Amino acid sequence: MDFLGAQSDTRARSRLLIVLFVLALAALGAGLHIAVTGVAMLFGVVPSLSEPNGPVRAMIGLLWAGVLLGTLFRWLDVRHGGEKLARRLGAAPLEEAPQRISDTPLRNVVQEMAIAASQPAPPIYVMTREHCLNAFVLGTPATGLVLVVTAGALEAFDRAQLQAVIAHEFGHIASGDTVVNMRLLVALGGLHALDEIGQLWQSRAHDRQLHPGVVLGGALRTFASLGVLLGGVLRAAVSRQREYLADAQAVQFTRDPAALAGALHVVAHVADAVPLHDHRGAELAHLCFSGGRASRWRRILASHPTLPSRIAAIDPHHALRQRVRARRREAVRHPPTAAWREDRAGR
Amino acid sequence: MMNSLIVVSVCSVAVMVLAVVLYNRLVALRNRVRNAYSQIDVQLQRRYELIPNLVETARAYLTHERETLLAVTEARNGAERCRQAASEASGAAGKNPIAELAMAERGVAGALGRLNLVMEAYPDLKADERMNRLHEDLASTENRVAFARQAYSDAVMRYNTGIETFPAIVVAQLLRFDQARLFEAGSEEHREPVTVSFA
Repeated sequence: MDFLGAQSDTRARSRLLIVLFVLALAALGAGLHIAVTGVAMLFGVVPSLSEPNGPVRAMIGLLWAGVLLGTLFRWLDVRHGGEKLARRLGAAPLEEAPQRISDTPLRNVVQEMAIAASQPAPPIYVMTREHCLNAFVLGTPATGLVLVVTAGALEAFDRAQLQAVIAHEFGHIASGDTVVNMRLLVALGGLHALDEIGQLWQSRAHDRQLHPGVVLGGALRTFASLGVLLGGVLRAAVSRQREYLADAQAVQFTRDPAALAGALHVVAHVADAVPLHDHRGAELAHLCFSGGRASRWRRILASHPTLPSRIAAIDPHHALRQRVRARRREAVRHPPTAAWREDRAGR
Repeated sequence: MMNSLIVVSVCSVAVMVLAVVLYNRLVALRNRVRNAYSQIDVQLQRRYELIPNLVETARAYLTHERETLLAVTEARNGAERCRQAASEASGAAGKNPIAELAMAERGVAGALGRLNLVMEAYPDLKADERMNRLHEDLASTENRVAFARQAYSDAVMRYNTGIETFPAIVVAQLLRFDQARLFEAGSEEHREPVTVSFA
């Protein structure tokens, strides 16, 4: 694969997507104005959409404050850096891990990839009780990065594959994805807050059917869910491009496309593609090495491209090679019988 | 008259700003090359420090292979001297020390390769736990040297492309940004990698 060309292509595309994301947020600001003034107009408080009076303005201000607070809380959450987030997910430093885990070449592999990527090696955390195959980076360079690997990954991958997976994560670090991801996480926090405010108002006034609060709550929730959906679609699209970029960088660092394709193959076929067993799994999905399998209609919201398409981008002939290898294995296990050989020779 | 003066001054300021930007970019690229080079240096040193350990551990088992062990030690000492000479010359943009070091480096690789072949014949040695750990460490160090070299090559490529493309080439020529040299093998026969088996 031409990893340098692939990197500049995906970089340009993901930049476009980030611009789109900003536009979507601006559209949401406009939507907020229309929702509040529109509901006020419906109840005859203001004459038109363009002439909000004092209380309506106050309401809009309040909602913006809600959005900002939501963002702030999410930011406070993220600010503590990778180590705290990792511990909250139940990951422990490699030094505290049991013998069978600290005996793996993980530490050496991380050191090697740090050199290949010309990046400092982050502290390593292991999710000792997690059997899914995954690895991800938490935090930002400013707050402290942490590399988290699941125990399942350490058991299932061989050294070269583990190296490719770690290289993929270093790709995310080198291209600054951790910063972008944390920012997107924070930006979406505001929308979640809006959704929660709407929910609160709707639940408060259940006895009176057409109370302005209920209508406004409904409108807000619609807008917020639309925003969350749109933001989610955009975030997922950005994230998918970044995955291709990180794959390309992993190949640059290891110069071993077969190992990365092999690791993805293991995730796709050998192991059950279980996602992270955690309620925060969805939020962290875009940080992980693989996103598991997604059905067709959910693909637009998937944080990762499908495994076959990632494998195809790395090694177009991977599928063919696997088939040939499987056939060879089969031939070794069940050698052709003498009768079959004679039959073939006779023909 | 006034207008043309303004045009000329605006143009000259623009050219100066461009020159400053280009110069700064080239300096950043050159520093990256230097950093990548020192990384190779660090990893080589790590490897040279590991080798005496390996030899000591192996000596207990390989009583009849004194020559092989001696060859490894000698190659290691020679390469260590070259490494020191190269880092004292601090030739990031590379003169002869790098080429010499590359040669000596290949010597070490060859000697270690032979040692590994010899060790294949000693099952006791392969079963030794300390030896196994040393083996993984040595394999990892080989990888680190290779990856450091690869990162150095990438940095050199970026830097050389940077100083050769227009308009940066003008700045590079005026301010003497020399081409950086790749860490190359001396001759074909030394290109053999060290084989470290986990068997």
